Amino acid sequence: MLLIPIPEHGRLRDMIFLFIRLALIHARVLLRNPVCLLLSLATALLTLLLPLAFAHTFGNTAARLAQDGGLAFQFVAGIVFAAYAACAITGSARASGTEALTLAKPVSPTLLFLARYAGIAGGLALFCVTTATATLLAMRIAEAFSPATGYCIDFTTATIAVASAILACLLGALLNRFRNASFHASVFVLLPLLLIVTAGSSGFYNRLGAWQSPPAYTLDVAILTAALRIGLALLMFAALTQVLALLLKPVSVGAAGLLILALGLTLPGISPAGSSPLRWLSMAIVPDWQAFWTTSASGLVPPPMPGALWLYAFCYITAILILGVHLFNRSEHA
Amino acid sequence: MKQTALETIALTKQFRDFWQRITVTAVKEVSFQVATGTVFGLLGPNGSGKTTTLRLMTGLLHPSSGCIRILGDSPTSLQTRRRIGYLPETDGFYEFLSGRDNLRFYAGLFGYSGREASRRADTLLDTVGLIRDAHRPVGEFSKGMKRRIGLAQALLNDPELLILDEPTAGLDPAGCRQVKELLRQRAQSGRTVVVSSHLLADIEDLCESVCILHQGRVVAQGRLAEMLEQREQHRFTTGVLTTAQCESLQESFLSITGSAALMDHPHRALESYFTQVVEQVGQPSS
Ligand SMILES: Nc1ncnc2c1ncn2[C@@H]1O[C@H](COP(=O)(O)OP(=O)(O)O)[C@@H](O)[C@H]1O
Ligand SMILES: [Mg+2]
Repeated sequence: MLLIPIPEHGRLRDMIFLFIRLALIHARVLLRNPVCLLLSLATALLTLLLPLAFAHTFGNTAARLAQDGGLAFQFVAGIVFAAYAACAITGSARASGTEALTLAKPVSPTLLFLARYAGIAGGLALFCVTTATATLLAMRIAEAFSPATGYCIDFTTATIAVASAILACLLGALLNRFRNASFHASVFVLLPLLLIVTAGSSGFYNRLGAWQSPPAYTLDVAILTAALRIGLALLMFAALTQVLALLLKPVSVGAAGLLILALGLTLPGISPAGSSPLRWLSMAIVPDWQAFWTTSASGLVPPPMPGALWLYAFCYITAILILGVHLFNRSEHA
Repeated sequence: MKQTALETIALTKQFRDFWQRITVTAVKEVSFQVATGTVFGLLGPNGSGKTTTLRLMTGLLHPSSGCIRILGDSPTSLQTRRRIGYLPETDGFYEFLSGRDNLRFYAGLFGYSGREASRRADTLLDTVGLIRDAHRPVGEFSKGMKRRIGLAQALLNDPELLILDEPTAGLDPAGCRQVKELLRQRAQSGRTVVVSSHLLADIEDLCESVCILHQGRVVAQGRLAEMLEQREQHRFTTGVLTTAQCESLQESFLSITGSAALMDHPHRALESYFTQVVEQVGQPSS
């Protein structure tokens, strides 16, 4: 029968392939989940349609409100996405027995846990691309003044953007019908792509929809750095909930996640300001979400030390994942 | 003297609740040895600790006390896991992937290249009789089909030690026979098989030695042939006899031993009868 010797294991290249294989299967499981698509689609549509609903701008520009609204949607829906993804992936791997079967093969629990995080992070990244592009488009849609068009809402971009979301669903249905591809996963991937195409094509027409060539872009891409920072905060939250999901039931994970979220939002306000050791200690335990929120009354402000923010997120995620790996290695898998 | 493929010494497993109170002692002081190249059966009623023992063997559960040596190593070592195959009680497949893709995924975990993984997957799908359904998602499979693909999965690395939790549960008689034949062949080729079952007929004509568990304890163990042999009786088997021959034999028995002998026609096993009937109709059940 099968008498082929097993290739020498433990080599780095094999480990990397194994890691990618495991991360991909987890990402696939996640993208097939209807709740993830629902969150992504709903957030994108809410963000895109928000500028059409402004009755009063409270002295701000409409674009400014669209920006804050879009980023807030990304953060809030992203929190739900991260917590749900962690619980769903951990729970389904346990319930279906794939976790036990994978660990009965020569796969170290450490690798499986990290690959699982990579899978969730991949889904979260795609979610953030969707919502960030939607925010970018919403800022263009929002009522604004241009010499050529005067004050107007950009209904053309709104229509194209919403149509691209519908198109994503239609293409997903076709892929499902003719290629047996998962509808949910296809739409989840197609949605950001089509929104990016919409943003790319928005330079070719002005706010009233008249053709303009050469293209002139009015997209405020600085918003993407803000969306990236929120994405970073969401990655920290995903790591946190993935570790919590090892210990608690989904409802408790949600509750604990909310508690940590609330603590992280309030602690910086009540702990001593500046860079006192106490402040650092509190930031080391509960993430300081405020540090990732970079819009203020004066618009989009870069953080005082962008490098430090990345370093902080990296260290936090690493520490949490090390804790998770330790727990996962100690726990039983049946 | 055969080498030992697997050995447990005073293996105990207690399950605990949130407050670390013991809720159940699923396995108590279980010790046995499995010789290389044999089929070993773990028998017992529901809840007697068979599945727990097998999970301890694969390192998925950690013993509360006692120890296990598998192929001379600890069950949690990755080197050991390259050399064993495990069929869990519940199948661990990705329901949306096809049977073939599931097998290729799990083959990939051993580090096989894409082509090698496909080759092994196809060979095994053929072995377990699922080649026609290989493209269908595992979620659509019947219970018996899942057991078959589970067995294929356990054989992906051609393991030296095969650990099977109720491999024949949900299988049709033809499937049972194929599985038993496959396991027998593996033992003949020097590989070791450990099976758990509460279906005694499956164990009886397959296992060389068995261990019977009850409420987590070993209540009997040893070589099956020796355990089942009734040394206080003798049996003769002959071709068909006439009534006159029977009567004269009975008289001889009576005069030699002082008591009459029991005489009847032997019964064949239902399994062999069923297989013959199904084959005669020319419709192998699927
Ligand atoms: N994860 C677990 N938590 C608590 N009790 C368990 C767990 N797994 C098994 N048990 C208990 O251990 C005992 C043995 O179970 P098991 O090994 O599955 O039996 P068998 O496979 O022989 O039917 C049962 O009483 C069962 O309820
Ligand atoms: Mg069992």
